[in-house]
Amino acid sequence: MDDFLKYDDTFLARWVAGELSAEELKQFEQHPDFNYYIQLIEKTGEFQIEKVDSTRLLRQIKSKRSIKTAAPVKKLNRRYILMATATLLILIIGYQVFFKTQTTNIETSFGVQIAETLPDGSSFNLNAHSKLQYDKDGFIDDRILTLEGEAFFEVKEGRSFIVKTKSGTVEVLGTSFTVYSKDGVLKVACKTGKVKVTNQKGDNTILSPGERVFSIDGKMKNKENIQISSIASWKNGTSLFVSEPLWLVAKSLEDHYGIKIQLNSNQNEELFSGGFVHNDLDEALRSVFAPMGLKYSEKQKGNYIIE
Amino acid sequence: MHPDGSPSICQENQFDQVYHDHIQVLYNFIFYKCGNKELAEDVVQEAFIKLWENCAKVSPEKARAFLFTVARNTFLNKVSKTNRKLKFEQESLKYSQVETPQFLLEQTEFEERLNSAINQLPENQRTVFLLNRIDQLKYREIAELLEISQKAVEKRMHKALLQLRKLHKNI
Repeated sequence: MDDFLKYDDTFLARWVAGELSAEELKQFEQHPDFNYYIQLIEKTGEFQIEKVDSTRLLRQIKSKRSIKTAAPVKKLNRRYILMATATLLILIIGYQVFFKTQTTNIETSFGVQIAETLPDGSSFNLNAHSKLQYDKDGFIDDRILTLEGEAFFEVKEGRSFIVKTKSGTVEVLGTSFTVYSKDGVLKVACKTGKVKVTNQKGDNTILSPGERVFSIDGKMKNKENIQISSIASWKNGTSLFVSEPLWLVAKSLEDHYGIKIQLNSNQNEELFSGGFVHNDLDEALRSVFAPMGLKYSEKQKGNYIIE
Repeated sequence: MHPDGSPSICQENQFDQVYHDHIQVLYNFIFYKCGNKELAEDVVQEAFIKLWENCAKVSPEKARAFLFTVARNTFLNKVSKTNRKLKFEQESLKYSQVETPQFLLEQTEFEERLNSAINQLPENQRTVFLLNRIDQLKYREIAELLEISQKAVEKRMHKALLQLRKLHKNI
């Protein structure tokens, strides 16, 4: 049987770029070397090269540059001018503006949630008052997002899927999980599959379904087991918490209802287990603070004091 | 101000910005060609110095194309001057890999073979392959930088993968 890869001389390039038709893809999947190529692309998708010492290089460039431009003007000879002109001509012929990666920015305001699909077929739910960024065109090759706030991800099997936050990085291959990152607090819970969490200090841990870990101000805590049903429950109208500090729960209330909460009690670090609904503020406040023996009062419109 | 209205690279902070935007990919590009750090740094430095010398004529958007053209020419000049064929140094391309959650032992052997195979690719194929895989450049972008057609880039990429497969079997 003739090997079509010998006759179609851009086939593999188009495959890597995700430009094959469904038929071509099916044909390729039958090829004996298909698995090798899959591995090849996966492996090389993870490769990084040693970063050049850009600071040192820039210094060297600037010192050499000063020497050159300090030279008397008469040193500028015709050959140099001709080369500069030739270079300019090359540039003028047909270059478009390029190399601006298209960053997709998704932001939710208070009380708003968004659910969307990513270019690779994975999906996410973005919780209230959160921000997600990724490169739309590059995502297929490089599954990287930047998150501030909270999101639930369902990741299609494939290459590395990375969520970057200020407090750490979460990396997975085919799984579902939540990431919460705000004010120096990173909270990650795994619903299915496997998740690797690395904080800014480089501490890392691997989560299995039902496991949750906090990293607060660079300190990664021990992972804990929580009810799987509580993970990303906010997608369905109720926020559930399992042994989480009260101030974190209060922050979630603020994000959903667009209110401001001032915690005057000495119970800020107390661990709260329970939840609140998204459609009834009074009920929500009661269900969080009453079990802690705290009372809430509205001092101004939208401003609450807890004591 | 640049004639077309964009900020001028003659301004120090603009130059710095352009530098930081393109230094890694420019360096990588030359490094992929020769596998030699010193040579790559030399070429890259000269390219940026030329950019500075032409700062009044090159806008930030056109900077990358300019840098790549100069770098390619500088590289060719250097290679022809020293009059020796630059043999791509075996084992000179080492990749630090991002750790993945999958702990499959069989991966290590595959990776070593892969490294070795990449080092053995013809320069044209290796450069295109690595610019696509490591620097995440699209074929269209690579074509513009190398001043060849996009089809030509795709052909090199296709050949690179075929060759890698062949080399992998033989290592």
